[in-house]
Amino acid sequence: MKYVIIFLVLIQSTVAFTFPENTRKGYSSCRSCHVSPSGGGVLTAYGKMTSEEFLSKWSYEGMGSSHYGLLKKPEKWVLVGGDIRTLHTGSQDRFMKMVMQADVELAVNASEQITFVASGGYYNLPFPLHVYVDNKPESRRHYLLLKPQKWLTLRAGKFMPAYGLMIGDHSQNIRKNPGFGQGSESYNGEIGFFARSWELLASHTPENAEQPLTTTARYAHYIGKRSQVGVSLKLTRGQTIKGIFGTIGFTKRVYGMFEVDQQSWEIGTRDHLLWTRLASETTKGFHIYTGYTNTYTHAGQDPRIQYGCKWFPIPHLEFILEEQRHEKVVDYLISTHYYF
Amino acid sequence: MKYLLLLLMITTPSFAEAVDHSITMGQVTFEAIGSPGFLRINGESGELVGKVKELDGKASGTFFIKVDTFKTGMSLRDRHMKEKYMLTEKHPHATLVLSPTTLTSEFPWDGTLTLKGVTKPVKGTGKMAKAGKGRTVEAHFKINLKDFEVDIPSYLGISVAETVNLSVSVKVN
Repeated sequence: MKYVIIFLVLIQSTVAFTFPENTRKGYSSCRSCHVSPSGGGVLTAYGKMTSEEFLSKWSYEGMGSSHYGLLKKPEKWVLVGGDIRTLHTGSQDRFMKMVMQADVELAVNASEQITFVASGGYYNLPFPLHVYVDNKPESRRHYLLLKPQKWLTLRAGKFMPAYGLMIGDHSQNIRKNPGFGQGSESYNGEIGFFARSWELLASHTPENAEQPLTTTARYAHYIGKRSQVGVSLKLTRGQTIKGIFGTIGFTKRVYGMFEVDQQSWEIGTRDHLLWTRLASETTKGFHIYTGYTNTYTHAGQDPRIQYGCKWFPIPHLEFILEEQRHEKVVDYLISTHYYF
Repeated sequence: MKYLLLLLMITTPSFAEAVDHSITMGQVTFEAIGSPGFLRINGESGELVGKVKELDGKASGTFFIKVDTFKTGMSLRDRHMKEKYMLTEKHPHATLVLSPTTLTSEFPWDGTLTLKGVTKPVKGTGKMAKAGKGRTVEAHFKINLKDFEVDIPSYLGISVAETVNLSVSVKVN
């Protein structure tokens, strides 16, 4: 049973595809690099360039673009992106390999102010791929994005509402427990306000068969040159989730991230989530990290210690190796990620 | 060697004057904001040399900023800044002239800045603190790039705001 639970937790993993740690490099908002105001998904032309400029160890000019610099003109009206992720996980003598994600996302800029985004692909495929499974393609994100002003965005469609640190690893307690696990994108309307020192994203999810009426808000404030702190709130029927989060750039290389959430139910029960990480980019494109997470519920605690490293050797490639200790069990995770 | 010659050029005429003078070296940083996303572009390591004269309790000075020493953390952006916008081969130095100012722990100041061959008046605020046998002086001011005929930097959808914040930090012996 224990292994089934581990499997179910890991099968939902999507490893870092947003980078809140880039706050330490002056990126206070996801919008500089991602089309989505809350990050993730297809990159802007500038975002693709950053993967060769400071994210990856080795590159040549134009290598970060979808066409590897073979075309002289950068994409402007149609942006193409996508991800292929494979995951190897294990715990003691149990191992599993899978393709977590294989999708494509298109962003069509009808004008400077109007963008339509749609993704489509396969998720959670067993590996090797010749094993037949009845997976059907699905679109997890499709939305219309309006940018009437530099400081204002309006969005409607299917996407993940903004909450907390917005890390990409959906297996972490701060993502899956409040309802932001992989595949939990919902139909929402969202308004975003952006200023030099802060940003506010608020979304509203109408009640439907899959999701109750929900309102989510995330406020982040930029501090100094390298840090950001914020508060989040999610209100849904019978449940309130509120939390604080932060990304602290101690130096240009050493950074920390934290999030603390409280989940309250109408019946009076309260859970608390703690997630911390301390990391260092020891050399360009190579990060080592350690973290402590804990989930406090009425049934007890679930403390975990994580160690790992992330390596971005060249644009379009990311490798993650992580070990997680909880109780007397040691899990490991190896992820390869090709993005374009 | 280049700096040594520059320092000699700066200091030699002042030997004839019966006023207090101090050689300074320091750093200049800037912060520009890119949109969308209010991206903070921090330029660091801008090298500065110059001279401060003190007369009747007021300090004045001239500082030379070596423009191509700025680093923003992204090599392509640095190259564009130097080659496309600041034209550093033609205009390697910016010159900041400080008008006579009473240096206190916190003080207002004004002067002129010559950037890309264009001279404009500037004003800002400053702070002074003791540091060992000398003093450190910080000055903060804003410039509008258009005033200095610098094209607004724009690349791959990110445009930089016209107003740029600058900070000068010098140690006065």
